Amino acid sequence: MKQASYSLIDFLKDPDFRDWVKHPDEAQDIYWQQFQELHPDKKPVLEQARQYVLVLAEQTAQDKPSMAESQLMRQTIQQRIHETTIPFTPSVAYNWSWTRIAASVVLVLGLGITAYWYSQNEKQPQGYQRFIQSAPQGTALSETRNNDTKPLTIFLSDGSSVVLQPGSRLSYPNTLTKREVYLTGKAFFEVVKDPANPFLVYTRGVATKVLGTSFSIDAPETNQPIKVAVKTGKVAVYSLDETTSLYPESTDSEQNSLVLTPNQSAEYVADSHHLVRKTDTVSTFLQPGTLIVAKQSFDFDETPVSDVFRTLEKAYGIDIVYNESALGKCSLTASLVGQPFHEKLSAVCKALDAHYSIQGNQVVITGGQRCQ
Amino acid sequence: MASLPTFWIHSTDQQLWQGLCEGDDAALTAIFDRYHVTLYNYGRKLSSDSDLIKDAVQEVFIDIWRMRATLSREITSIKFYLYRALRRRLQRIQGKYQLGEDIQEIYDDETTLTVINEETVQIEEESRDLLRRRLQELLTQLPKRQVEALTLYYYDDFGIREIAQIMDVNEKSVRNFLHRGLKALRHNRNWLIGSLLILLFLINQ
Repeated sequence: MKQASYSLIDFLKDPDFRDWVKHPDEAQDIYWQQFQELHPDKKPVLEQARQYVLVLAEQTAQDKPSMAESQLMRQTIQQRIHETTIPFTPSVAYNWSWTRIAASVVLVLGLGITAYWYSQNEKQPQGYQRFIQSAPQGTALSETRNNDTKPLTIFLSDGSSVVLQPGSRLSYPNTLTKREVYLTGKAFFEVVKDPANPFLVYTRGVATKVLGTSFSIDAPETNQPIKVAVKTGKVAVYSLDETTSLYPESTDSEQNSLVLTPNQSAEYVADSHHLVRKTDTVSTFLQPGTLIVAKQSFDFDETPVSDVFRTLEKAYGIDIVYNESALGKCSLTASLVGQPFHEKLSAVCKALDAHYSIQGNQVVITGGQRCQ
Repeated sequence: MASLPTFWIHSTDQQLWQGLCEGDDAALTAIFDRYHVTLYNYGRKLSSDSDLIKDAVQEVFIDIWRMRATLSREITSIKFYLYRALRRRLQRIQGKYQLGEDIQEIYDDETTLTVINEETVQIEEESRDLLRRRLQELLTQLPKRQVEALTLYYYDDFGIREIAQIMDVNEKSVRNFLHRGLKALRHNRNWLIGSLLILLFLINQ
């Protein structure tokens, strides 16, 4: 065996050794087992080399794109390959194509909004005007509408996730420099904590300001009351008219703004422009018709991983693909309430020593240690 | 957001490539989903400008779509193809990025470096955690091309010959990059203690 005189660096440079460490199979296991029996003095070097390979592989893999970056690249590619009219021109300066994409998105959305205004044929709700005015100039906006019968999860570029009920829609900047979105309908928000950069949800007549929390909003298009309910954290709700100011700490009367803590909710009555604090006997999140994601406690205690994944799949309407024979027997203890989807996934993967990637509407889990 | 026909997810590279050549955009998306994360990770070893890398990664995929009619239908490794394409693209658009042979690095011949004597090197038990921290720091200090070679070899599982073709150097240079990187890793084990001492010294000033 050539490895008999190997030093640490020799092991590290041997591709067979690297392949065995990273992707062991039975034949290689036998070979290296035999080697160690024949050369017991090499055992410590071999073990050390094994650690080096693993850590080298891990540490050279630290520059992966975020989930939001991946989605943006994916969308851009899909958009560009369908632009059949633009002839092939080799790109000269690298930031050219970025600008072009941003511009085309703005244009398309501009048209969309105009059409919408016409069809509405009336004044836009106060909240929508505020949202548009507040967006920094040149911001590219997306509108996602859930036309499906199942809830739809949207991942925002700051890492927050929004689960939209069927028939609802959300407008949001492609890149959240200011974290502000506009909602029509019903959704459950899980917001990444960033106290310096508050997250604002505008609806027809109300703005909800949060610092990192989870909550649901029900804002029907028509003049029915708007309801905001908090699951974790703290939010401030403002009723909107031309004069409402969201940024200086509010001097408004209780009728124009309310602070809500977990399991509290508020209702906005359009006719009177007033906010009413609700004292629910039954938590909003337990009432029928509530999104699964809002009902879930995401509290796992020695729970089999297969159950954890099933819970996440149901809550976010996304398939999770994983190696069931390897990971299925692992169990997990964690409290993931209020965290956005990708934080939940990261926490689970960290516990399993696994990785995840989003592929279309699937999450693929790779790696991880086998549990017995 | 278009969703992916599930049958592509478990397809082989060869099947995906066929699909791409036949103009199936879902195949392109599947290729993107399969390889863009590692490709981007590799790109970031060539430049720390993440917008530049995102853009270049996108262009690589858009390019293979536009050129699908002229691509050879047989491909041994899509991953290899994408990596080489990304590096060439970056080389083209980033004039300042020096990709020629680095004289100083070529100067050391491999034979003169293989002098680490097993007896003089103690095998200490080193925790994975310590090794991890040490390596994290080292990777920020090594020359870019050594980090690039280490990434392609240890993370991306490429062979020496493929790495040489991706990096556009000969195989001996690749071995050299790897060797120098590993040697630095082997020799900076006292780095942590050293830097702690310096820190203490500074605090005491």
